Amino acid sequence: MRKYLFLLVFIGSYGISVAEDPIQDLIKRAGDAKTFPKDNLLVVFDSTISDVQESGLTYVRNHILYKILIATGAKNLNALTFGYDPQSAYVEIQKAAIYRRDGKIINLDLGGVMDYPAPARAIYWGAREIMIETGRLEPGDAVEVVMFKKGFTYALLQDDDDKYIPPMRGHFYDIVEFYSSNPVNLKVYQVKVPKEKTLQFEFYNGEAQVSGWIRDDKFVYTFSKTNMVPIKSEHRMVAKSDVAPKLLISTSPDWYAKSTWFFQVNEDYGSFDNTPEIQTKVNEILKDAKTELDSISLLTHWCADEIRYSGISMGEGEGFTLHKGEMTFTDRCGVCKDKAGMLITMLRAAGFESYPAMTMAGSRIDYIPADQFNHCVTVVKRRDGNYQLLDPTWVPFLRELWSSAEQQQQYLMGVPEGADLATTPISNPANHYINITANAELDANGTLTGNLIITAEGQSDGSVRRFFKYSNKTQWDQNIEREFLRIHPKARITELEYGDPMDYMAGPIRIKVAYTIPDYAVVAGKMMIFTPILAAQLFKSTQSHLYFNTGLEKRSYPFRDRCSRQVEITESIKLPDIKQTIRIPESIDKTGQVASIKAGYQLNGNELRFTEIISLGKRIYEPEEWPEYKTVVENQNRFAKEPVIIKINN
Amino acid sequence: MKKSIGHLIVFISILFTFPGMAQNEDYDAVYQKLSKSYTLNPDGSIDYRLSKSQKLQTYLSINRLFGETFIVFNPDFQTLKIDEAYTLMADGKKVITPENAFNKVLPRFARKAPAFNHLREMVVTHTGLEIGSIINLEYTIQTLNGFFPALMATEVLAETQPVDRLTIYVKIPQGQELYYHLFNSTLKPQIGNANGYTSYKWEIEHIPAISSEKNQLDNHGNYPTLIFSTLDSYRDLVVYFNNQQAFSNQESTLINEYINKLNLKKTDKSELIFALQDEVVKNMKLFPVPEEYSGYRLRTPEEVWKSNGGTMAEKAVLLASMLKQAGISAAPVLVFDGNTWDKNVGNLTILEEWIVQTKIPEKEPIYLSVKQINAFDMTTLLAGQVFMVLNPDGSYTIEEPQAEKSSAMMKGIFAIEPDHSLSGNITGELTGRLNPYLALLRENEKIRHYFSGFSSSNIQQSNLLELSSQKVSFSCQVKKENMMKKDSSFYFFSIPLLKTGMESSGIQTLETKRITPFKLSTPIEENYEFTFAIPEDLTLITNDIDIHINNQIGSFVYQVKQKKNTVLVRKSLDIKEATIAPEDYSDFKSLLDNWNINITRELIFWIPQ
Repeated sequence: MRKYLFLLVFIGSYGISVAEDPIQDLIKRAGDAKTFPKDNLLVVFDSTISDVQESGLTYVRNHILYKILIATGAKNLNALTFGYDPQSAYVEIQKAAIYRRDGKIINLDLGGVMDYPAPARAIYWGAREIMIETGRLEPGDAVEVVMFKKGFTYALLQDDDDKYIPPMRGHFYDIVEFYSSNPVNLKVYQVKVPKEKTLQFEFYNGEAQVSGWIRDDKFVYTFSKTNMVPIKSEHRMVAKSDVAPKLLISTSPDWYAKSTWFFQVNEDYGSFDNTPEIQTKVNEILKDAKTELDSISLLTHWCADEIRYSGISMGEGEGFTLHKGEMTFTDRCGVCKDKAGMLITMLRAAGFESYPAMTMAGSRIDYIPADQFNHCVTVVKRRDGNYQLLDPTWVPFLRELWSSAEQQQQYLMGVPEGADLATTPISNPANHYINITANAELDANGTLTGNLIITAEGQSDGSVRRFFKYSNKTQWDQNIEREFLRIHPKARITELEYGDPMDYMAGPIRIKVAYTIPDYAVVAGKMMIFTPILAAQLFKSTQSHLYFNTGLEKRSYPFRDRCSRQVEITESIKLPDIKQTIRIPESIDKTGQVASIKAGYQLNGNELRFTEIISLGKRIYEPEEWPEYKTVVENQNRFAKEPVIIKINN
Repeated sequence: MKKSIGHLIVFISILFTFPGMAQNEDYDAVYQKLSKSYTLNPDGSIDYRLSKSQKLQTYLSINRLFGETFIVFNPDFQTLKIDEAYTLMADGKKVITPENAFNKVLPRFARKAPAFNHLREMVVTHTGLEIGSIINLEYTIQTLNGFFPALMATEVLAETQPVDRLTIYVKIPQGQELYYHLFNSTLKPQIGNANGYTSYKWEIEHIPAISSEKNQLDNHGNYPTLIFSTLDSYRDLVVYFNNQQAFSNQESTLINEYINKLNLKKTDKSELIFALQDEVVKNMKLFPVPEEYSGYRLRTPEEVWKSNGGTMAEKAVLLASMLKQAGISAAPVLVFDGNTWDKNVGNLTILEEWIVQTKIPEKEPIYLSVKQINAFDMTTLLAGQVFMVLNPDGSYTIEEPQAEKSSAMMKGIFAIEPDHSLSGNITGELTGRLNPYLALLRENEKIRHYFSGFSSSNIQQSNLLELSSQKVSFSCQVKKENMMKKDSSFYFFSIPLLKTGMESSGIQTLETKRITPFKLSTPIEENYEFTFAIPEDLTLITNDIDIHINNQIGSFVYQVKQKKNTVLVRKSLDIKEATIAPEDYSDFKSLLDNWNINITRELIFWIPQ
């Protein structure tokens, strides 16, 4: 395979005319369904050459060869599509050919390439796709595509190639995945950079063959890796980009440079300019504010709730420039950056010092200063001089200002003095408690009658409030009833109180329920078999950790929950006159570094008390922390499965 | 059936006599005005105009439900014109929807479907939304003459939110006829003549929202629904299809080559039929493009084959053509919504699905899906719908499969050994909707997969004693280690059931209240009788149970009796009707709740320490 490396670079550089024979040879020797029994499609090679110009504009040529292993692979490859943003990028298919298993080569007519607006939901910025139809393929066939691209992911100027120059003019970065959902026999990435530019790079989560040399007036770096197989996923693992081989490459000197650029580009555009209408609204929102935090909270929640997430384009500058406050205020909609910009505008109108920040929801930002961002938030400078993070996109109807579902996440502030990459702190599980207290009576016929109160705060408050947030009032009672029915088909709610669940700032959610469940306990002669409803995981949907698959003994990769969490459950049941306890499930008391559980039963006379206190310390866990986490979940599940068995008198 | 219709009328009367069942303010939004008008012009072109004023009442409506309006059209034949778009904010301020809030995108269903890449979806992003704001939108889609085979439409006269005033307006050139049928309502249209047109207007006020309850009749079949067309039958629509190349030009060398290769491997006709269904369903893409956007035009089988993907209609025509080329009789079948079918109103907008009719020699015709490898014949899966078979001679045949009562029966004699392994024999039968006829026709051994409580490897031997489209009967030998779940000194044994019965409906819980009729796929009867010989160390603690429930809807029985070391278990369920009226719902819930509770699903044994 190695001998083809230079050939591939050559093919990528100089086109296609000499490539046909070696490609036939590669297809033949690449392997088949027997070599790759679990896969549909094989990437024989994937070669990219990026040629960086002085302005930062980059010409990219990508040359890829797929081989169909089975019919599913043929079905999936019936059309090849490539997305692009026409405001800042240009894409062209230069060659597409089908190599039939019998040796016949069909060059697809490039006149048939379709260029059309991409399907979209929530963000309507004019993204497009190009597509070429390959049609019916058979196992053993191969498809070769040569692509040419120039540009960036967002726009700046409009003249000729100018619009493809990145907004951080003169700079170049790239994030190159050296992993795939299909096996890849060879992946090559080559970048040519003007000698004057300093290039920083690091290859993460694995190794690649690396070379660097000078050709003409450029440094040429080549990275290659062979025989890549798809990464085996683990349930609830972190993003693949956190653990799979990848190359980060950037000419930007450090994060400070990115930070000050981000600050300046929005100041220059006037993203946060105030208007009389905005000032009037700010005054109206803050009329009852008493403290600094009141004001920040009121403005953050107004932007979270009243500016809906829906992105329409501002045209030139879309993607990296925050819409002007005036536009977002009128539209009452925008994406994360526009919601963040609205909040900055309002905070400034209220006299605060506030700036935007960029972050990456869902995966890690590594330290090479390449743009690894997918989300924009707000920072406000408090009176003590510290910056506080605010996220109007992630806190609608949530009692937080910064969503703790974003703890342990990297961010970069766009502040005038510049900033380094930082990480959000862990949020104490007590900030996200769920407390459920139940009192019930079980009669000798097996009917359970009782009442309970559930309260929650932080992210857990948000989870409980989901029973109301995503349906209209006519369905709210049924949503709670369904939780009880999940425990027992005959459950009946006799009283239900939840106040106004949409008034989330009034206080932590509180639901009070009275219920009765005929035939709850299995009654067999004098024997009664039952699991207390809280041990049986009533309101399970509010505890995302209970959906972890604990069958996995060991983990290779870090894993993630939604948020840190604390659960406190107490259930007291008055039982019929007990003659004998046949089985009371065993108690557990395990205190760990990151996850703890203390749970069990106490029987005092005829009153049975079940308590369960658990603590899950953070959002992202290391593989070696899995046994602790698993113990907590397994034991909660054990109490759900193991019934209490007693014998009663009469 | 008569009873069901009676229940329906009662339900609809309640719904429309007492619109205040739920207050408008309890909903996410209210349509203050909703108007849809259809105009057939003298040149054959059609104008469709929608006008709405919708008040938003919750954040859910703003953020998730109504923030955007999506309008799909075919630019090759249709022109979309936005007539008016603005929002009245809560304080009355008018926010005109800006230019950048109108974005044309590719409809998601046309993704990676090259033949449908020209379709477009206009996304109107409504700006200035807040609680109490009112969205105002009017748009017109003009359709060229010939794109649709006729002026035809289906309108449910209710929405997911309450409507203050709904108007459906149809205009056709004077002298032409409009054929229509309004189901579940006695409302008559206002008919007038003016300016060379005859107009029909249906107007209703204070329409309650469509209920969000699960298991309702298909396609809102319990709500007033209007169908109309300029055709008085389906005859011209069948001609419309037959005149297309897709039907008239079905010969393909490429497809023939494929079939010839397959023919060499599959000598049995049934094997060949199923191999062709596998190819079309599994190895070709399904483009979920609604046919109204292509004017009900289909590509030829060869074009579909070469592109390796097609719509449901195209795949059905392809599969039928492949079967015919393989020497097997076959026909594409259009499946129409049975709730809104009227043979005197030629209307393709009630078309639900395309399937294929074919025939294995010596057997009755079978009906194949092109969306999935259907284990059940489509006449049972789509009972209640109307089938239109497009015969090879250009004629068509109407079939109306009904949801007949279906049954599952199983008897078992088992021995639980001292090591708590279980062995024994079972016999049983499945009829109607519960009979996985096609799966068993493909492979008799598949019967092993239809038992809950036993995995296929637990079935040591299986025999099909009878297999027909009406009924399958079987016998099996079973052996299973660790049949019981051990928990301290207790042992829990799940009573085996047949998976195609009520278990397959997914109804584990039922809410207390119900305002709409509850729909099951079929009336159902299930009967199980088991005898267990148990070892001496096991004490059955869920013994001497005798539950008998008989009510309007049916019955439920669960009995457990122990005689020495023999345990007898009987479990049965009988649901007489497929549609349960709201007033019978509590009876239905009572039967199902008892069917689903643990004590009737498992036996609990104990070994006293």
